[in-house]
Amino acid sequence: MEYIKLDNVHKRYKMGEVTINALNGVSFGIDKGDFAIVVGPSGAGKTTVLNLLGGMDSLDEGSISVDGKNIAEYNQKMLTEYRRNDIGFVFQFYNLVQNLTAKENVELATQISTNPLDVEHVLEMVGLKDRMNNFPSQLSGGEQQRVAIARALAKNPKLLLCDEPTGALDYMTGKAILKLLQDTCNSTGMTLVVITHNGALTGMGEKIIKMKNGRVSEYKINKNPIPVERIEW
Amino acid sequence: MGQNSFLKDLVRTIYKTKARFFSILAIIAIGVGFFAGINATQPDMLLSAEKYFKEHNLSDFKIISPLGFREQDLEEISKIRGVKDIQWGYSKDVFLNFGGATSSIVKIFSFDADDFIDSKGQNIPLIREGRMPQRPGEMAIEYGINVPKELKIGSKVDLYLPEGENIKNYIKSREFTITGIIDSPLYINLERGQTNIGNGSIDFFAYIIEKDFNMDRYNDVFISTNESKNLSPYSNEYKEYIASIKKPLEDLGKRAIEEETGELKEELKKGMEELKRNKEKAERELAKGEKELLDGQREIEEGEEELAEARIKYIKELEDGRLELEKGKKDWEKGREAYLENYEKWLEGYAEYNQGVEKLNNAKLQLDKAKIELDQGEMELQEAKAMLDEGKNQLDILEESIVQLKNLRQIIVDGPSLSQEEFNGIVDNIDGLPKEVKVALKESYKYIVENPEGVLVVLNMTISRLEEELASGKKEYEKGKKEFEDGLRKLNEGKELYKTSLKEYEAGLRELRAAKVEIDKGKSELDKAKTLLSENNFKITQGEKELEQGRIELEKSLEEGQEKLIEARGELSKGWSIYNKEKEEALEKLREAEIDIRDAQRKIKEIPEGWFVIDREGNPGYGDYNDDAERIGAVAKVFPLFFFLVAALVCLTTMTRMIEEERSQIGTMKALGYNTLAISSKYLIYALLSSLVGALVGLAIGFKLFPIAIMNAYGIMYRIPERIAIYHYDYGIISILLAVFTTVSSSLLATLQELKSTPAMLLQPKAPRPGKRILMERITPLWKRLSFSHKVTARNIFRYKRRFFMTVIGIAGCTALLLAGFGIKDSIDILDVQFGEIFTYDGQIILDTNKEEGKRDLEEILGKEREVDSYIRALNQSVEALVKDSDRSYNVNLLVPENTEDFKEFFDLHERVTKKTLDLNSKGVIITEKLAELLKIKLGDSFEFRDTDNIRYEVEVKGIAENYLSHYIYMSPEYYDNIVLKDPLYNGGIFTVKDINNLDKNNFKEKLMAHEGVLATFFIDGIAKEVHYSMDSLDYVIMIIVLSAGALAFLVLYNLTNINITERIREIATIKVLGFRDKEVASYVYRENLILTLIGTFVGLILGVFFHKYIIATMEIDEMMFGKNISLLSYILSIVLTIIFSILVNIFMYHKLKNVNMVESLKSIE
Repeated sequence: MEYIKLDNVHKRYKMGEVTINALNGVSFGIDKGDFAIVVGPSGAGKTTVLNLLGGMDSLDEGSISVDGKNIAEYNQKMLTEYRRNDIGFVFQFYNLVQNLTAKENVELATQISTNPLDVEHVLEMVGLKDRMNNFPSQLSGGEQQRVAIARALAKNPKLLLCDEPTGALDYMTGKAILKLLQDTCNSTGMTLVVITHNGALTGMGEKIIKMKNGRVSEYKINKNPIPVERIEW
Repeated sequence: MGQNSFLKDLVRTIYKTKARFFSILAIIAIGVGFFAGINATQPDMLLSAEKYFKEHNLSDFKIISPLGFREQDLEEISKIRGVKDIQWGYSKDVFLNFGGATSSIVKIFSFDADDFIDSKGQNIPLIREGRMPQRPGEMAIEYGINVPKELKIGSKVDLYLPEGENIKNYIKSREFTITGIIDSPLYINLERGQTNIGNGSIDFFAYIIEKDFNMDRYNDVFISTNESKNLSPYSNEYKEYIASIKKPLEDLGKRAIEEETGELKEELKKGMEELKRNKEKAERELAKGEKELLDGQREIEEGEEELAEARIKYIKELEDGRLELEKGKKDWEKGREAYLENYEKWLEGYAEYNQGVEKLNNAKLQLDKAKIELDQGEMELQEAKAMLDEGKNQLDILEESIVQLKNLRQIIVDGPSLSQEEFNGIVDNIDGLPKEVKVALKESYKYIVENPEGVLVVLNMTISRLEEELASGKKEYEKGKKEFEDGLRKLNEGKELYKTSLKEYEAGLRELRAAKVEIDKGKSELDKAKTLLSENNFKITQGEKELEQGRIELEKSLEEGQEKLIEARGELSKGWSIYNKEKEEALEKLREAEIDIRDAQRKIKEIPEGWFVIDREGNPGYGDYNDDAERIGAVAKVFPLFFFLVAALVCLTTMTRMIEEERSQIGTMKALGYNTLAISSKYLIYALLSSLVGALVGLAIGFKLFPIAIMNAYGIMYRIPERIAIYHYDYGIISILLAVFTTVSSSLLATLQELKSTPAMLLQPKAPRPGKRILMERITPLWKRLSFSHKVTARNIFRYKRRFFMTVIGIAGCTALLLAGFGIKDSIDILDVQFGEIFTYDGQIILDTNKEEGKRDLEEILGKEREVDSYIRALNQSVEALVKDSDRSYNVNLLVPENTEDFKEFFDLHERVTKKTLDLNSKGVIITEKLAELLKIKLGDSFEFRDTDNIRYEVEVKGIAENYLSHYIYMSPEYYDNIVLKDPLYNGGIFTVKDINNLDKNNFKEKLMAHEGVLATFFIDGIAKEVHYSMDSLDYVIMIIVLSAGALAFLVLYNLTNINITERIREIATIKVLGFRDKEVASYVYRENLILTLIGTFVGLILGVFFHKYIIATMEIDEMMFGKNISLLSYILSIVLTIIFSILVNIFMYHKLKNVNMVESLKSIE
């Protein structure tokens, strides 16, 4: 039984009189502890998939089961609890609270979590122990993204979702971030879903889901993921 | 983007942000409406009055002549420059009886229809119902609150005058029928002025036709001037113009009155002078008599004193004499005793002397005997001595002989170189040798040569015999010598003894002789003492006799003195009693004289000085109306401005925020090549549209709503028939400009600010404002104690300074407005203090002083009612307190209690701040606080008031009492007498009842009113109710303020919270994604709002207190003093209301927060 299973998921947005089918019957599965990568061009529906998976949006048709539970049937309240306890989210633009220090940003998450990790330990893990009392504006992009990852990890989620985590970063920093994610996944056994439009990255995933026009165009299981260091793009 | 798409974009933006657009519009509308509306109220009020006055030709002057006008007077008046129209008539104050029960005091004016043809004439009555009187016996009455409700068209009324005056002398008929109900521009408020009948205040006015009057002369003249139609009443130009005409009118009046009363006045003055002189003379005589009597009395008293002193002195002297005598006696006794004692002693001494003489003689004899013996002894001794000496001589010779013998022997031994002769010579030279020896020896010489030895033996034998002889002789001599020496010693001893004895004897003799002298002297002293004693004895007897004589004489003379004094005293008391009797009479006369003088003064005072020329300020309510308008104008200067500022501030924030939000669009446009004007014009037009429309809406509503509402509120107090609220272009343009300027300029500034950046930068999401440590974090102990979310809140509050200040200012403004509004309500809520703490009586009755005294005896009326607890007689009169150098006056109650001590039971007069109780005294008056303020006088100052007979009095202020409602002058009867120059005519009673709550007031009133002498009776709770009713109008104004403040508060909060949320939408979305529950999200945002609201509220309370003070100071109406404090409840209400608004807004926003779309919000900015 797969840990995460999307089955014929549809999502439509109504813009006035126009209806846009963002997802048009998406189905795939990811096992526990997998490093899954969702790739595809802009507008393929990657982010929509991630939003649905993260409980930030509701779907119109189909089902999404996470750890045996169908979150498609969740109401708003249940979704909030789901986000609170099971999901860690990393955004392209970090979305740190500017008015909080790195440490406090992490605490913002651990505060509401039932089983959080030690904040300082997590910050050490992402290599920011020395800078944890800095405000986001005092940190570089990569560092900010590390804080965002630490914030997601500290909640000790079942599922870590990353939406273009390297999109706003330069090559080297991006690589470092990806390495951090891959290492974390390997060491903690956390299930990780990363969205990227960069096809070069697909090699590092164990599950590769290629999307196009709101559908899964290719689903690939990669038995031998390549370490990030060896990937060039 | 062409014109078309520009417009489309604009319309769509407005549509999309309609909440923001309309909130700006609404805030501007409220701000502008309030600002312009309240500001318009003052001019609108004045315009309404002006319209009324001009349409109804309100006269500029009213002239009253106490003597009536003569034909020539009227002519003279019309000749004065500036006088355009002159209208004359009659007026008379009468009692009006309707249906028997109630009687009112009414001012009746004459109405001559001819004056009013073609809307000419002055003070044109405004007909409310029916018509003006046309025929005799018809009457139009006014439409006021003091008119009995039952009085309607067709009602018949009865006119009469106080007893002693005949109405027929003034008005031809007594009965009138009501034909119309009117208003007059002469009376625009509830006051109707004063009169000299009844309780002194007119209830209402009425018109009858001129022909119904039966008076010789017109006594009212109304004047309109050339400019009365041109100048605005209340304007300075008008005032100056009127003043220039008033002077000649007054001068004319003085001359006219002088012509008629000069002689009378002169006579009165002369009479008074005469009276004064007589009085002074009588006083002098009285004083002289008293002085004489007092002198006599003083003399008697002095005599008495002298007598008493003499008595004491003489008695003391007698006593001294007696004491001395007694002492002398005692001394004499002592002397006698001493004499006797001495005599005895002398006798003893004399005996002793005789014995001494005898002894001495004996001693003499013995001495003589001893002398003889001694002489004998001495002789014997001398003989013995001679013998001894002889013996001695012999011995010496013997001894010499021995020596020579020895020498001889030696010579012999040594060698006989001696011749016989020599030998013989030597032997012959030895005296002691008896001749035979010598011879023998000489013989022996021959032997010397042959036998020396033998010679020597012979010699030796001789020597031995001689030595033997010498030894025994010596012994004999020694013995004799010893005996002689003994004898000599004894003799000497005897001689010595004799000598001493003789000396003793001689001493004894001397002593004795001295003793004899002594004794003789003692004897003579004793004899002298004896003589003295007998002499003294005589003296003492003599002294006793003299003393007795003295005593008798003293007693006699004292008795005589006493008798004389008693006689004098009797005469004096006779003198006093005569004097007292005469004094009584004299004083009575003096009192009469004083009263005569006072009456004379009074009469002089009563003679008018001139006409009473009264300009419009003298019309009841005319001045008050302007004051009230000015008061609102003053409030308008601050209150709405503040309001407006808050509104502008919020719009500014909102527009700035909007432009920040549209940053990327601005960037795109700029990137596409649009110029600054094109880009910014969208926002400018947006701001312009919202603020302009808002301002127009606000003006449209505000110019009508606020002036009308406020005028309606004041309408209860003022009878201005038409309330005009016009659109004031000045205020309109100012407020539109202000509103548009603030919003548009803030939009322009914000756009320009954004446009400074390059398009590329603009297309990037705006760099979030960096986080910063706040000051509080440095206080580590405090910071550590805060929970995580509180830290976030604290940091957020201080991070967004603009938001902080906007919110605090906005909320503070609202709270301040609310507090001021409620505070005003507290301040006008002064009835409890007035009727609970200051007026401690329950009711008053007014008596008809024209009735005979028995019918208005309070003892009879109140004393017998068992409901009444206590009562006091008082004079209660309505007077006018005059403002210095002005026609302006204030209606004041003059209250003179009969007894100033009992008075305290009914009025608690005290200073407001110090609570010091004020007592009435004969030095001056106590006035109420507001009156002092209006007259601008302080403790110790003087002011004038005018009674209903138009006579002025000057009084000194000795106390200023807390009081809130209407004005009072409290005066002691003594002071009244001094000032008014007559005894107070007590026309009322003030009373307390035993149980006010359970009293059937109507029944009680009826009982009192049944007495013929009672004109009216009222309870203070009735007044309280009436006042309360009129206060409701002010409540209405306050309601407007509070509601407007509330609306503003709500909008401000809504807007600020809205901005707060949109500004932080990403942050909110982020924490939602993190799994914050809705409530957690809300509290994350609202905690800040709440704290800002609290800070704002606190600041607002402080602001509000000052605000309230200012408003109270400017808003107060003349008839009242407002309380100066805000109640706790008002504070609480303001706080609670602000917080409720804040909570309401938050609830409103909760929905919005809940629906924040995470996906949309977190998308990178397009």
